[in-house]
Amino acid sequence: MTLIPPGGTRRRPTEQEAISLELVSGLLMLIGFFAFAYLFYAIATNADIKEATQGPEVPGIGLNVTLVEPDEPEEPPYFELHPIAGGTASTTGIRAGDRLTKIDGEDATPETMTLEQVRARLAEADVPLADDDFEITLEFLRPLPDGSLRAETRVVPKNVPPTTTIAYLKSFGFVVPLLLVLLGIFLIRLGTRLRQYDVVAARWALVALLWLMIGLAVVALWSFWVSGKGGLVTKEPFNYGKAVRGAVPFLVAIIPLAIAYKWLGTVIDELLVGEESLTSRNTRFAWTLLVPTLVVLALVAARPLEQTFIKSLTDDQFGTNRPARFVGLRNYANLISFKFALIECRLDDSGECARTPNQSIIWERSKAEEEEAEKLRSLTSAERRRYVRYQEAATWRLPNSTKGIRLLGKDPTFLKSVGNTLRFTVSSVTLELVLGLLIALVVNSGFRGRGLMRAAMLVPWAIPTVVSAVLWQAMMRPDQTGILNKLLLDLGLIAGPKQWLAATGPWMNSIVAIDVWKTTPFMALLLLAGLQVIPSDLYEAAAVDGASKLRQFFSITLPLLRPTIAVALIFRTLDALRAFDVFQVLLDTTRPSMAAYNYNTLVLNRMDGYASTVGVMIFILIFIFTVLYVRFVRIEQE
Amino acid sequence: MSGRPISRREVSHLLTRALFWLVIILVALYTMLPFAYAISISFRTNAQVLVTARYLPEDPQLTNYQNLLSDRNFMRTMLNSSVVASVTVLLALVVGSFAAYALGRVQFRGRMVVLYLVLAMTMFPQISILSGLFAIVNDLGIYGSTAALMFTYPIFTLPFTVWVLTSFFQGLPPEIEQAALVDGATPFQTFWRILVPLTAPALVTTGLLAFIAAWNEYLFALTFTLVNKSAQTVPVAIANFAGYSYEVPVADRVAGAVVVTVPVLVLVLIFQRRIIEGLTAGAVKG
Repeated sequence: MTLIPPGGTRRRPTEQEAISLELVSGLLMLIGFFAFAYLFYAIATNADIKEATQGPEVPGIGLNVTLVEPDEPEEPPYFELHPIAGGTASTTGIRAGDRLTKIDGEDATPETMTLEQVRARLAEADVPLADDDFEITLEFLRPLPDGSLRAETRVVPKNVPPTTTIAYLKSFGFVVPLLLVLLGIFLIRLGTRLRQYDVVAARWALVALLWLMIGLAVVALWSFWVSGKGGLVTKEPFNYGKAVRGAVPFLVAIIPLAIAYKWLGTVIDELLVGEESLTSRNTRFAWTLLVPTLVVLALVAARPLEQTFIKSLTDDQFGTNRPARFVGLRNYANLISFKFALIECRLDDSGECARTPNQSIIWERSKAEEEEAEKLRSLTSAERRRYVRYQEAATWRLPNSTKGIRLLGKDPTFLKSVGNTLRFTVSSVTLELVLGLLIALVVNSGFRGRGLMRAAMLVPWAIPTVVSAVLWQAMMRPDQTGILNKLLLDLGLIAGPKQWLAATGPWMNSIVAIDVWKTTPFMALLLLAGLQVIPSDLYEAAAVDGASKLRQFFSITLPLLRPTIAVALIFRTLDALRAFDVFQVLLDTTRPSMAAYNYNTLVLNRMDGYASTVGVMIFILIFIFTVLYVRFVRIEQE
Repeated sequence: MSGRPISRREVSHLLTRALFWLVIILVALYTMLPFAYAISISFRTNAQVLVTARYLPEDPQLTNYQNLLSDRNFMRTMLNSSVVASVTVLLALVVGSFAAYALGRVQFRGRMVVLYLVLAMTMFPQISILSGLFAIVNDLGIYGSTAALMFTYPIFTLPFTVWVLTSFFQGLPPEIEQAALVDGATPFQTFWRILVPLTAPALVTTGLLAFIAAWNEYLFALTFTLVNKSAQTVPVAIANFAGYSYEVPVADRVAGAVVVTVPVLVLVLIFQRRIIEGLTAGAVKG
């Protein structure tokens, strides 16, 4: 097929047509330039970047000072400073839970000062509280009904580190600017090619105009909603006047595009000549259809992923105006630092391990923990503020000995969450596979009411996970009012009521049981579908040869079912690794899954940067796991 | 009974039969009982539930349901959930079928790249980008609204829809477009008038699965609407339900759980064949 080079006209264009074409091409180029201009404008006016370059404006803030009794008895009580929620408290350089350790160089603990003295001391003006970048001055103090103190402070930035790059990356990143630049280049090129009466360019221009109009309509809808709604706190009613005013500019902007689209559509048929290859036409058609999907995925997946990676390298905090600082891999180091220590238990008179009243073993402090405490003592208070110490994540007793191994981590909760998630995943997926296979085999041997059975099996799958958690919470009530306890007591299977979900009870098994209940039927359905494609004459042949049912299972069913099992396992494992609902609803924040921990750090602690690091770690763990799994399964198949 | 002694073979056959039905009954009980018990609890008052556990309600009452149905906040969350799930499904089907048609029926450069991108997205752990999404939702000014959910849910419905529909489009005979082309239809007409009606069964299946996924979603809903009660969806409302008295809300919460589950359950049971096909299609093909 000979390809006539595009370009050229059927007849001499009229003057009006020539002008219109110039106008359309001009419009396209204008939008292209606008894409660039908008990018520069947004960067130039971005508040975060401005603040990072010029230093923040930090007004006064309020702080609550509370006396805290520590968890461990050896540690002295300390004072905590809590920024008052909302309002200007967000501009603090002090974080919630920061310890007030020294005032004017003197240790501020209940040993050295009474609360009254602290009050007096704090009441004096010009008491500097240490922070890396801010000098915080307490202005005055007010006692609150609950016994805590409220200190009004003035915060003055001391040295603001250069965070412009981070501020830029956080606000813009790469994905959106790249898309804007590409769009700009594309439209400008299209405009220039259109002026040469290029029919292919004209067709691409139609696609571009169509999606630009739809895009503008979506933006108008968004603007309508955002302009009209009141603030979250103020709870104003939806303001339709404002909303319409927000949407109108975008709707008006659609008009020239629509005119250009209409005109270009007629001109293509009447004026322009030029044949297009099938490949080129197909490519244009395919990309036309792919535009919305790609835009949605870029905004909802690529951009957040990029932002999560960027923020994981900063100490960004949600809800503060404090500019995020680049901290390198510190978050990662804090998250995954761990070490093991050999520990010994405290011996009682009989030479056995001493136990607390609720039967847990009393351990002596390990050498590593002693060193840690020693190090902490040697630090100044400013250094101590930054230092993250190792704490106990888990302890295992060695069999038949008075020794044990203790896992220490800088973020013990994260290590625990990884452990919880892995334990949960391994036990629930294994149980689900075995039970699911059993159920699938039974249901597969046709019987009357099989359809009904399959429908019944969908019930647990269809119940929302949260709802099943609530349901099981009611059934697992810790005393006689829980039906599970009642049932097991009636059957004589347990001696007394069990605390299924308490930290001292069999909570992991309970959680696994709930998950097994919810997803085993799904697993069984998947395997059942796999079983049904195995040709039945294989079994008939095996039966003729005198192979037993068991033999048939191991030499026919299992090998032929293997691909299905593999896929089901991958699905379920990935699902279990990101378990959130059950952990969040049924357990407290000290026993999270990885996902629940991510949620806690982000939403409850508002530690944006750190939560991002947790997210990246989950991403990496699941990614490694997927690759290993797929590889393993493939090797097995070969 | 005849005097003929029962042979060992018959005994073992009978035993297998009995064991078989025992397993069937056990499985049925295991899957159905917890929900049946939920219904039983929901007919007792909260005060009764907090005193003793009973298999069946002592005097069945509708108070919990009456409370829920007259609770405007709860009905609001039901409405929110329906709207969010419907919009999500609609978006996923329209946008997804466009992309699936391009990926399944059109040969073009970059096809495999996009296809693998979509496949990778279906395995993507959404939780790990929670903080990134949070920032974007904040920047767009839709934090604490149902719009935030409509914006973020495509991350799990869209790749899945595209993937399933692509394989469905690929399964249709290639002559369709040729015939349409001969008849002078444009590619878009072919797609919209001929291929989309042919894929109706697949659209219904994926739509249902997407609807259930959106209806049941909890993490995003909790993160983005925790601050605004009037934008919450039912899972969030159920998990944070405070009840209608000063007691621990057990019975009312479970009644809420039953109400939430019934629409999904009805959908699932009506379309069970379709759903099982849709769920298992990917797994069997490998």
